[in-house]
Amino acid sequence: MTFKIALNLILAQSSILRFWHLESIPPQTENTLLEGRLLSAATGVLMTLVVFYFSRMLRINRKPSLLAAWVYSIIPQAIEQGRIYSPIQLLTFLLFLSGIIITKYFLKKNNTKLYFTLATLVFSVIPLYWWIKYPPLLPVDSILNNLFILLSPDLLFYRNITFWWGGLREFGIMYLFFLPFIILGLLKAFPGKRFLLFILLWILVFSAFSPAFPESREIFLAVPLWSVLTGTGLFYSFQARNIYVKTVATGSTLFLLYEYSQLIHYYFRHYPLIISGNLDKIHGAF
Amino acid sequence: MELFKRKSFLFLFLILVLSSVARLYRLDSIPGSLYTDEANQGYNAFSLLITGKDEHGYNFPVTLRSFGDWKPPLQSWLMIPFVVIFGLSETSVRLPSAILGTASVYLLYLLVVMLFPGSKAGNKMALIAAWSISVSPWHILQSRSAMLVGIALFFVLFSVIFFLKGVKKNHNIFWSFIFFGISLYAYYGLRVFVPLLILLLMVIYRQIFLAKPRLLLMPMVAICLAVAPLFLGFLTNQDVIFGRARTISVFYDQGVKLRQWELITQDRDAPPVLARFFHNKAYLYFRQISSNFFSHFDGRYLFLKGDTVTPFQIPGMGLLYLTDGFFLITGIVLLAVRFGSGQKKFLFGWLIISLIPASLTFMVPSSNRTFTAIVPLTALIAAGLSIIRDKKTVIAVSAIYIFLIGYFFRQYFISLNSSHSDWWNYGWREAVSETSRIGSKYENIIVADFNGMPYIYFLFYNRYDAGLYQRQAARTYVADRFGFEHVEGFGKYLFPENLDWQQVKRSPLKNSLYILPANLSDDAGYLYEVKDPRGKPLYRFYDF
Repeated sequence: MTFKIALNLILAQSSILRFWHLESIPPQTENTLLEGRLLSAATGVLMTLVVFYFSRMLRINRKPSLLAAWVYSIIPQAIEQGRIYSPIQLLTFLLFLSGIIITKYFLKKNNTKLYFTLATLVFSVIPLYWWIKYPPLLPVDSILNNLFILLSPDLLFYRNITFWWGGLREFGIMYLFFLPFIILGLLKAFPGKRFLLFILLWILVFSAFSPAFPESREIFLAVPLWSVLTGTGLFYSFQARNIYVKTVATGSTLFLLYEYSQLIHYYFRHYPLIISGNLDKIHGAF
Repeated sequence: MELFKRKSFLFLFLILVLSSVARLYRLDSIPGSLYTDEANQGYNAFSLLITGKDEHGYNFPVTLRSFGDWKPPLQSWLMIPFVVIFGLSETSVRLPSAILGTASVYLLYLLVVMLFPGSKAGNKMALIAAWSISVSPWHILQSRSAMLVGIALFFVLFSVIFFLKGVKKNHNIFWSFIFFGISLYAYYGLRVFVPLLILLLMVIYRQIFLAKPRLLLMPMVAICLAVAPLFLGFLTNQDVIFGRARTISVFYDQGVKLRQWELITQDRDAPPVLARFFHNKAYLYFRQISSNFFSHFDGRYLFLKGDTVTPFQIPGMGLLYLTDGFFLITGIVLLAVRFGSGQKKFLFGWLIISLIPASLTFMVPSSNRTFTAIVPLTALIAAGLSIIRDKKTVIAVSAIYIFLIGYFFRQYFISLNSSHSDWWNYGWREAVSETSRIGSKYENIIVADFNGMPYIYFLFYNRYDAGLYQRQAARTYVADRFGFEHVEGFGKYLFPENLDWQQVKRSPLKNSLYILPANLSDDAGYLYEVKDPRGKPLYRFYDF
């Protein structure tokens, strides 16, 4: 019962963050598709649920899965992409949802090898599209450069470079105080960790190959995975008996909540002002 | 075991030969010119040798006022014997760094051996670490220039080795702290780094000090002895310690304050308490400083582009080799999983501490201010490399490294001078040489102060009488927006800032020689032109 209430509260929070003043924040441009925004917001909210089930699919317990869903609901890039018309938000939703459905209803048994093969197959199909559309592959140094941008603390925690596609310049893809929990998630052994890291790495490499980097925003595909990793880290940090880990976890959580409040304030108060001054520079549906 | 020892000695010897060659080969001409700071330290060494005073006339200074950036003086003091032997030249300026840089390779070997004592794996890791730092682009670049950090690293390594020796033979702790104290005169950033490193060592080896509290007396006496001159200097002038920090710290930069003002202005309708809650300096500075800190983990900085500040750049290279990235991650995992908690705390702690001084400044990421990070990074890379046992993998990895090292040598020893000579202020030696040849004909020699601090090159390459200069130097001691103090002139030399060439042409000083950057002057009518190795004009001489 408590669990259901918690999940519903997370969904309610996710809905508020995505639907509240959707028609005016961010301000509409002449190309804005309000229906598109609504679709993004709806899939954004549903994605919170998908993240929970994805985490459960990896055989992670209910509590860390719930935390993963909560993390997804508040992660800056997920909020940003959920409030504009974002094809990558829709793609992420469809991809993860089909992943869960295929696994749950068509593949009855837990077969790690099969998961790996399927994941490779799915993520290999999308780059093929580039091979058709852009025959010359990017030079190696550009690919490396893109890869390092994707892994850079600057993009992850401080500055989202996709400003013209809904990103906030003042915040990264995620909060800085996710970092201790991500590290703990990486150090701690949990079910499906290898699979999770494999897919994460694959998405990073795959995004780096994109000729339309960074506006194509394939990196958004990694957000649910970061959420699961952070949620698991959060869970284990409060399970730890070590006093130092507990202190760091408590401090980080408090700062995380402060950062979260900063994001909400900035997004709903300052971001519209900045966008209003740049409406002519924003192309596409937004 | 004996055979292994002999083999490892041979390897170490070969590594040291390799590092000497990489650090001493054509030291006077690669990089192609003395950077402004190098020339300044060289001339101050010359001035101290001749007069016992620095260029500003301070007796036996504990900090060199220099361009108003208050440089630590150790490098200049160390140059003095070389200035005596070789005269004031590029070689005498760069030799202390190159020699101590080579010695640092050996010290790193010793440090890793001491960190992982009594094991064959530890010895192997130490040899790999020595090899890795001997061919490190970052270390070679800093060892071949007199930019302070090369010698600073030597003294830090020396101090830490004595400290680790002191764990068994306690009297060494005294010498460790003496060297820690001396290192504070080597590089400004160490005044933040060294106290934190001492704290880290004290925490790791706290059992020794808890068991014998009187051991704390030795470090305290040693550090007091070493720091006393600096403290006495500070009593007469606070800039001796805080002069540099004032101008490079994030708190000096106006960016954060302006941002806060902008955000609060946008929130003018909100209650002031709420506006303060969201837009307070503590949060904004925290974001700025933590962002500076983490910028040093950016792969583009480490492996692709390196430092963007020109004298610390190697064309087309990062600070580390691309393959180092893989072995660095392997080393981190290995250290986290396999090694003891003391070794973990030491290496990870050192890495974190070494990034703190740079995080408190702007212009990051900075390879110069975080140079001490090379020690834990190299040790971690060595740990990663040490797990390779398969012969085929060894051959493959060696082949890749040989290719990468070859590329680095090409970029550093050839491309840097031929394509990027401007990064090291090329052209001033040639300009001074020409001025010396024709300058006696003119009453005034007017050099536009656009590119760095040209006055120092005229002092350095002319071996200008240090005592005479101290009497003649015309300075206002007014700092520019970067905190630098300019020299207006000395003797018949004048160094006007923001010289208006059009104005000069209308009413020039008669019987004067003007020297200007080529991009600010006319393409015709000049007397002489200094060109870079590619033939691009750098400076032009005009006479009236």
